[in-house]
Amino acid sequence: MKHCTRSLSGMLFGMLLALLFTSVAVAQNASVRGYVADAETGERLQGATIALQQPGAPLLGSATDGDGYFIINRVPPGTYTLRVSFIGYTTLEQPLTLAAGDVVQRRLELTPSPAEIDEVVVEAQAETGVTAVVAGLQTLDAAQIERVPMPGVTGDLASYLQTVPGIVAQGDRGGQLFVRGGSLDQNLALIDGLPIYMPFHILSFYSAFPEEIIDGTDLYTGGFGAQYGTRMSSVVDVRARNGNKQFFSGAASGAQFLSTLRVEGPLVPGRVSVLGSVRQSLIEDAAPELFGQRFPYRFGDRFGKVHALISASHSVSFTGLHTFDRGDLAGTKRRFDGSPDAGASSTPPDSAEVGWENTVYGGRYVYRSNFIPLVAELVAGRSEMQNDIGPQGTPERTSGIASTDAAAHLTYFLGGGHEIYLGGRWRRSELDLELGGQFQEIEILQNEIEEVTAYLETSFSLQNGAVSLQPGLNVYALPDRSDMWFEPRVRAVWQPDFLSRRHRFSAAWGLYHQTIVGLNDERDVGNIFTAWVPVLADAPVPQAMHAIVGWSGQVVPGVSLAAEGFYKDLSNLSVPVFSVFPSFTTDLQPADGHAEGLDLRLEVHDRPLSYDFTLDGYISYALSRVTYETETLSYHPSHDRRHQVHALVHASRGEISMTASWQYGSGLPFTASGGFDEWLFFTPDADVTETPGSVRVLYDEPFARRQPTYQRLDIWAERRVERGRLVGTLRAGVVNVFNRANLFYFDLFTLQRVNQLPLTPSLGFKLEVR
Amino acid sequence: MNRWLLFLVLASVAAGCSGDTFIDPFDNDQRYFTLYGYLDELTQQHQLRVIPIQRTADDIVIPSEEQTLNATVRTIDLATGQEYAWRYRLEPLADNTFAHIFESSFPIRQERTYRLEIERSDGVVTWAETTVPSTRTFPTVERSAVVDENGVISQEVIVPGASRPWGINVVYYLAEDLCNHPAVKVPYERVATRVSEGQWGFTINLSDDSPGVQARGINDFFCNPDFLPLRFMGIEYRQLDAQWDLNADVLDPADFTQPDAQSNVVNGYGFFGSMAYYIDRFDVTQELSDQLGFPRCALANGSCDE
Repeated sequence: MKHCTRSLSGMLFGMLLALLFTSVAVAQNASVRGYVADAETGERLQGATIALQQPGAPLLGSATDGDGYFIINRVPPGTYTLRVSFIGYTTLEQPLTLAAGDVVQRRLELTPSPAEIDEVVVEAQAETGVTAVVAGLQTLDAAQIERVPMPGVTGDLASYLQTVPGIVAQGDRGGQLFVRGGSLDQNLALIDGLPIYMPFHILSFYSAFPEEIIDGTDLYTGGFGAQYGTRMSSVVDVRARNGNKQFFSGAASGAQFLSTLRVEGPLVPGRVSVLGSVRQSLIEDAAPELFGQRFPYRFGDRFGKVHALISASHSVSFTGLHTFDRGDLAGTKRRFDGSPDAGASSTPPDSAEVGWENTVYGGRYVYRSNFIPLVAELVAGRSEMQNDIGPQGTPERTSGIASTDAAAHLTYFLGGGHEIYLGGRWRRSELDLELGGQFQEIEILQNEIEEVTAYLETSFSLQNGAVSLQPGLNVYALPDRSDMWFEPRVRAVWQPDFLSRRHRFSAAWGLYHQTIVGLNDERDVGNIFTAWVPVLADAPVPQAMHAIVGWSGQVVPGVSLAAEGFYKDLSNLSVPVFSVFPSFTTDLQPADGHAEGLDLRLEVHDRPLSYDFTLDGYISYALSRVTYETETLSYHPSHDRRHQVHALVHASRGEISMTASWQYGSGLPFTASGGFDEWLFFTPDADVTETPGSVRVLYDEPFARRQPTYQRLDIWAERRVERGRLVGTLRAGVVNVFNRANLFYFDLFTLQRVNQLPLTPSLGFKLEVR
Repeated sequence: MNRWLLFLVLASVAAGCSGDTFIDPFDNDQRYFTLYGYLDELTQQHQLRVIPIQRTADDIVIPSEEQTLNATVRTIDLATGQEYAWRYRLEPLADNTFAHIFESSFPIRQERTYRLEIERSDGVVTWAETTVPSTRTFPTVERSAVVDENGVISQEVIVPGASRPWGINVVYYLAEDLCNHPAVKVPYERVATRVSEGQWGFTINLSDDSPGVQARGINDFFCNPDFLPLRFMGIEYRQLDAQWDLNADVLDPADFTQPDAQSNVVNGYGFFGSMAYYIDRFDVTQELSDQLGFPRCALANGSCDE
């Protein structure tokens, strides 16, 4: 341990030395920094490429961040051509002369040019499609999310995530996503830097992140860097759009599942913008019963953001988000043999009603120095979540978490792609729960826990940019308990020159800990209700080790491939003891585990088939295995989906497009029953003729059997008409075209099976003012 | 590309049409009944509770007419081949549920093995065997010397045996002619503590017992308190058959809930055991009787027997 601490200290010291020496060196050169924005809307563009070209000299460049900001440091004095490009915009070129010590500020505006699709664009798309995965990281933009259709007219991050190999959804309701073997509570979801605890809606097509508010999303299915702490499986880091600073625009849509309204515009033109989004489910009223199936689901979200450019160096934003969900997960019940349940058209006798709400609000301040190559970011806010199971108003169990966050991040640009990241986060969480005896050791609990993380991370390139490394260290501490964990992490990318840099090899490794965990009981319908509890002071803290190795490349123009293998080692988990009492109570037991798998992805980018007719799509396959081991038992938990395939084909011609999406998943594990009997506390003085017994379910070996496979084909047709600033979109489609009876849940106690959505048509219209 | 598209369409159609959606959550074709009962050497009347394993809990606790037990129960003495039939009745219980009860009457013998069979109407059989333990061949109970520590008089007792003794009583035999030599039983350990492998122990607290014993002699047997000497004592318990070893020193109901815990039933769950009776009587010295405050004389023919 001492040796480990010395090594870590040495690493930190080395990083600081590098920071000092390179800061001295940077003064010998010039630097260029500024913003890239849409010339029509003024909205800053994330991911735009800025390059400084000089004949015979290495290319210098950068890409804009979430605020459209870029910085290029350590630029040798000379005359350059500044070239700015972004998908869907006309490339901008400007001459630029730099002297030693110059710090040049530029506001660069790009003009939209949606028709421009040349070879360069095609290659650029390969960097953002489903095959653009780098050691577990996929960077998503709104356009990618919109590619995956769903009931309604806008896209949603939740629908996209379900197509990502390695992410297992328990069904089309419940909003539960398991990422590469991790459990639900191990996923970290962030909106503008603030956590949101249950971000997915009760119908799993939808989340708190509609495509219309998303500027960009970093999705880490593992191997995330030192900047992220407190969770040990995955990260969904969503950056919300800032809104239009030039003029008002918006959109409204209606479909039987969901209606949406988005308005954005300048409060102070060019400086302050506002973006608001409201979504409200309609399905409960519009189609309470369709094709014999009930849809007792009510959900929605409200989002608002104000963004202000105080000056060229200072910007501030305030974000607020509220989501709500309520419904009966067992709303589409059938008997186990598939026949309709008698209670299907009325209120079922055993309610599986669940509900949850999230509220997130906070602010973000960004400072970009004009004097040193530094970006400082401060984030502060509050995140609240409450979930319950049982009738509204008289729930059987409740659990909530409310946390206050304050975070600071510093990015120091050393030029040549060398950057240093330094920061930390303080979080104080209040947890309360009433479990009604669900878990024997935890009944009613109110607790507060303070978490502090600090990180130091750097990224740099070797071999003329062919190799980039990102080592870092996150220190995670609980001040109240005097506990501290060191979490070294590293990410690496290699694009060998001998393969023309069209092939990318990547790897990631890291250690992760988590002190606030969510407990789920497999016996709940859909396993939705999550009890958030701090790990007991004397108990070992859950830990994960991630290792990822991947490759991606373009095999022929327009066709890219990716393959990635992962291994996650999990320890100190808490899982319920498998009790034989039906629906009574259970104890918790420690468990370790591991998950391993392989993802394969193939993507075809816009491929012209004939005049004005293009085809694109992708197919992905995931092989994985998740194993939990308790003291007495080794088993594969309920989210161990061994095989998963998703194929999406999108064809378009002019204003009309069609999309077909097919998902296949091998059966999830479940615990079979040997039936019911009665148990007596049978001592030699028991009177067997009078002693009442207790009914017990005769569980088979836990999770030893597999459910039927899951398959669903969705087909969508869309017509999009543009008339000046107005864009109308009509989308019609069918979910589960073959009306396949995909199992969602089976209730061993009531013998009722709950199927996922049957054949469900959807029609929606959206009118957008751009 | 068109071929790929065609392949995808055909694959999805084939997959979508496949009927692999049925799930039978039950995985049980070998276990038919759960049963609870035992054979007691002290009685010829035996009872058995039988629970047919069902797919729904309701069928267990409130059986409809179809769920009344369609089975026959018999016991076979494997030493003699003698077969005994059991009679069925549906018994309403205090909590408004029902119990399937079988009763039979036959004597049991120590060291004999009895096989209980429950045969369903379709011929499947759940069965269990129990061998009634022998108490005749057991080593006798070991008692340490009586100890008087600060006025607390006690005696350590070691009970030998492979399985745990159950229902231990210390018996105080009072010698009062007019009330027919009453025997007062003081219940001790319900389950004795394991001292070592094959040995179970407990401590008799004679000081604590004696006032109660005398009071019960007076109240329960109408003895004259002035003439109630203690002449003998005894230790009695039920010897459980070897399969009925209650593992934990402290009985934990959670241990019993596990279907296969504490079970000797083949093709089913539950337990069918047997028990024998053991008693060891021994003299009480005059000195000990005095120490415990019992009178020396008993009323015999109107005179005090010194």
